[in-house]
This record gives sequence, structure tokens and C-alpha cells, in this order.
Amino acid sequence: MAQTRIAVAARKGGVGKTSIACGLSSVMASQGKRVLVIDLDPQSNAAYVLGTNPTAPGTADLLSGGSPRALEASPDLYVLPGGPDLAGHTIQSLDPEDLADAVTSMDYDVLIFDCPPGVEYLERLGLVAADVALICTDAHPLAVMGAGRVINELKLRQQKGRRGAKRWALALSRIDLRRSMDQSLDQQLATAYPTIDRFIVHQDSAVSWAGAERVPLMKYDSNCKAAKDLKAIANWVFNG
Amino acid sequence: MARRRNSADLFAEATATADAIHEQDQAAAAKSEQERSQKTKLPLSQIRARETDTRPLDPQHVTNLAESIAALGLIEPLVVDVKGVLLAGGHRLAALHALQETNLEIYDQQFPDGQIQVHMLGFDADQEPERALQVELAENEKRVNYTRDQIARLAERLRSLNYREIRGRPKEGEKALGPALAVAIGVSARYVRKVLSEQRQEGRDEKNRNSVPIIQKLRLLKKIEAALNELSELPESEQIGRSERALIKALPEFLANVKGSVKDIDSAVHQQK
Repeated sequence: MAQTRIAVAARKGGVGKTSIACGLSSVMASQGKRVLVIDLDPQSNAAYVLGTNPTAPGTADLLSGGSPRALEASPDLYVLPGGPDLAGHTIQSLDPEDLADAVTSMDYDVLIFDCPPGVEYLERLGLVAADVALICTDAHPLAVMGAGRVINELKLRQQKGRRGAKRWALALSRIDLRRSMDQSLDQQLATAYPTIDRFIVHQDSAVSWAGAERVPLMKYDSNCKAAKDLKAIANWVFNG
Repeated sequence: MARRRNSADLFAEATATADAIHEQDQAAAAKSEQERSQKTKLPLSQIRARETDTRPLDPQHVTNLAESIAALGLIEPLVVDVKGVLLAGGHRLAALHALQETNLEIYDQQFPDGQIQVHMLGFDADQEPERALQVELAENEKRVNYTRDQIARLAERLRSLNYREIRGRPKEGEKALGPALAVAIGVSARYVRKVLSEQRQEGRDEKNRNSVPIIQKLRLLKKIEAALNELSELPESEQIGRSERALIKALPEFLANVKGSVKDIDSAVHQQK
């Protein structure tokens, strides 16, 4: 089976990128896929959330030409930690396609790039290496603005025929439909981006508890609401 | 508390802003792409020497620089174009090669990743030879003074780039050689004019020198002297005619006269000087 490469991006910080990336990785691993999370965030949260050592050599090492060993979080679920080295000058001067080239021969069914907030050259490495992108936003205009910037970049790359994600969807994170902003978010995105698929990931304390206790989501609570939402996303990724 | 606006409006504002900021995102991406292509380090093998130097390298200076680089590393990066062709730093580049050849261990210590610091300028020297020359000259300005010969050679290169010696204000499309050279090497236009006209004068002198009769005569007499010496050293043939016999007889005195003339003319020429 061909490798599936997913970038999870938002531009804005704190809107649930790492939660969705790691949750999705756990869901896909539980479906029998061999999954690797590649953390592009200097804050190195993904390895932490999945219960592995966030300070071990990881993505920066890979991008510098090394071959770091992926850390095993659970059966079939592996992670390459991010870390401060990602902010270094050598990584900044990489070609946007370098990550895409570095991962081509990796032996996994699924690669998930957890993009950082703000740092555009790192986010771009992920978007260019991916064939599918998930753009996260929560129900706040600032998050919608960040998501809009990512969408515009993806569109532009596609128009210019450049390497990168070919299809993308919006992941609406931490949605609680009792709140008025949350209620109107979906409608607004449908109006602004009528051709882009949207997925709701409901507000679910299981996600934050799993992260805090450093246990993959499916191991923490495989029946939680968010897990069900993420399964719908996994289905879209694999089956369009 | 201000009356709360409808959240659809708030989101619409956010998406509109995302579109508005997109242009800036693109500009930033283009800029970082450009900066990325302008490398700050290159492997020594990828730094290509330029085809012509405005002046020959001074071997002593190269040796001194190699010693300095061995002790301190490369303090000033080499200046290269987008293809890694050297624009400025000919002595430093030569010193790097010398150090690599003579003391690889220290070279590896100073350049552990094999990368040399460069300052990459965003143009191609092949496409813009004039700009390349200007960079090379600007770098050398106010360092070691250019000798008259070097100035003459620079003038030659500028002529090949369509600079002309023009009187008065240059017409459209014309480039004035004198002022350009003066600016480039940091001397007055008057000095450049003087050097170039002296150079022309010397050129003429050279031609005149050979055409001065006394020197011409000296040259011929010296030739005759050498030929006669050679002739007298040949083994004698068995059968010789009358004329030749007479010649052999006359030869020592003739040779002495030739030598005497050479001496006389020589001292006359020296007195003239």
C-alpha cells in the first residue's frame, strides 16, 4: 500500500494541532496501520503527549541528514520528537522540499506531520511533504484567520503546480455546540470555503486528559467522543 | 458593555483578513526563498576561481594569509556570485588551497565541515561582467596601491567592456574610462589620465629606441662580433682559396676593430643616459 502523508497545520497556536495529530495517529494505529508522527514543533509536545522522551534526537536530526530512531509510543505508533534544534539556522536554510525527500523511503503506512504554530518555514516543510492536509481551527476569529492563511498557501502551491498537499479539509476543534460562536463557525466556514470538507472534533476532556497523562488517545479511552470524530477524519483521509 | 456583534460577522472579518494578509505571506516566503538560495557557506571545491585577475597574486601575501588562516580561520568571507564564482578574495582563496595542500590537519580543524564562509551576491558574473569587475575593484580599493602597469591593464579590461577615453561629457551610450577607473581604484581622474598618457608615451619611446641609428649600429656590430668568433673557432678546411686566405689574415685586426667600436658606442650610449 502506498504511504499516506498528512500535515496537520493551523498557523495559530493552541487550537488543537498536536491533540488532533496525536489523536489521529492513535486512531490509525489502532486500525492496524503503522504510523509515524513527525513533530515539526520546537516546543516538542507530540513526543510528550504520546508518552515518549521529547528531548531525544528527532526531526531536526532527520533534516540535518541523520537517521534518528523513531520512539515507540504503542504498538504500530511511533514518533520523531521536535525540539529547539528545529529553530536553528541550518534548518531555516533548507529547501522546502527537503523533508519530502527525507521521508520518501520511510517504512510506515502513515506519516503525520505535526506543524508548529507561527514558524512558517517549518510548517511549509510539512505542507510540502504531505499529500493530505488537515487545517485546524477552533471557534475564534483569530484561529479562523490562521486557517485562512494556510488554505491560501495551499491553494497557491496547487495553482503553481508545486509539490505539496493535493487535498485538504478543515478540522474544527474543541467544538461545544452550546456556545454561540461554535454554532456559527461551521456555517461561516461553509460560506467562506464552500469546496473544502469540514470535520467537527467535539470538545472532549478525554483528549486533554490523555495528553496530560501522556497516554495515546485510543489507549486512554477508545470510546470517547473525540475518537469517534477522529475516525471520521481517518476515513476521509483513506477513502476521500 | 458594548453590544455583542453577530458571530458570523466576526468570522467573516477574520477570513477577509486572512486573504488580505496572504500577499504579505507570499512576499515573506519569496524573500526567505531568495535568502535561502544565498548560501553563507560553500565547500572549497565549489568556489570557482574567476577567469581574469586584475593583478597577479603576490606569493608572499598568500603565504602570510595561509598562516593567518591556520591560526585564526577565515576572518573575512570570500565574495562569490550566485554560481560560486569568486568575485573578491583571490589571495584568500589561494591561501585556503595552499593550507589544504600543506597542512590538511589544521585545515580540517579550521573547517571541520569542509565549508568555507562566503558572502554570496545575488547576480551572475557571466551575465554582469561589469558588476563583477566593480566588486573585485571595490574590494581591493585602498588596500595595496595599484602600480602603473596594473592601472594600464585595468584600463585595457574596461576598454573591452566598452569604456572609451572621451574628451568632455560622454554622449548617450558612451562610458568614460578615466572617471570610471578613478572611482574604482580610489584615485583622482587626473592621476589616471596622467598614468595612461605616460603609458602611451612610453609605448612610443620603446619604438623610438630601436629606431635610434646608434643603437641599431651597436646591435649589428655585436652580431658581427659573435659571428666572427664563431667562424674563427671552426676547424680549418684543407683547401682554401686566395680570398679566404686573405680574409683569415685580416680577421684578428678586423675583430679587434669591431670590439673597439662596440666599446666606444657602448660608452657613448651610457653617457647619454
